Amino acid sequence: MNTRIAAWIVTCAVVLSVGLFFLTARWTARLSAERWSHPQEDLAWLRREFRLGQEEMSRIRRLHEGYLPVCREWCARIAAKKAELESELSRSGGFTPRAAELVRELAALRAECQVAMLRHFEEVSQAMPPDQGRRYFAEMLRLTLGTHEATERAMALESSGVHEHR
Amino acid sequence: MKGNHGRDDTAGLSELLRSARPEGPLPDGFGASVWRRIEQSEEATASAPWWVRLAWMWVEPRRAFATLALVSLLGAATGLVQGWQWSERLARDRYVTVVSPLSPWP
Repeated sequence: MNTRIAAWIVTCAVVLSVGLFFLTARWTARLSAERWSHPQEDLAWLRREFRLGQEEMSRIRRLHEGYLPVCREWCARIAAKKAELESELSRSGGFTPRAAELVRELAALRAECQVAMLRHFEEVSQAMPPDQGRRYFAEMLRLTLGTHEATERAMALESSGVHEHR
Repeated sequence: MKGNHGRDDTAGLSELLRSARPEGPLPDGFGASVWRRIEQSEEATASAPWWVRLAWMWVEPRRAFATLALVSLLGAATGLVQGWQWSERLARDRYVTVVSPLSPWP
């Protein structure tokens, strides 16, 4: 066989194989992820991750269903306050004392919302076996507050770096 | 009647085939020459670099399809493992989004 033709055949074969491999892998991954994530069930992850039984799940489900309206209410209040702040900022064209007051109110609402959320996490963790409960609480802190804390830590490092330079 | 016709047709066809057969002897050493060329081709393939031998494999449709089927199976298996990991993350993110109105933190 002509070496040039052989090189072409091998190149085409490799490209085709690699393409087919990634295409099949991606397609299968997407299909199976959608199927296995149980999109209709909010608590599916809890049950699997923390190996919860029927009784624990029913307790947690009650807590979850009780918390959801509270959570929605906080969401609505925060969204309304943000809209008010945006409206004030665009109306005045600058940072007015009223805008500063709205920022403080928004921060207070967020803090209250965070308190309610952490209380819920604590209640849910207490409905689990102790070890799993502790793990759940730590994981939820990491997932919900972790990104915020990482930003703060980065800012603190940055500011300490500036002081060192001086 | 029909049987006779059939027999006549067969005889006619045989006669035609006999007349169409190339006449004259094959050149001297024709068979040996054919075998020599086959052997040379096999030797050339055996001593060729690995990628030329790989190309030979792909020229054969049966092997090419078998390779593609194997690649698809490997891809699907990898996809299943990846899909399981994605599904865990999807389910976790869904739960966190539902219980945390502040995620991602504004």
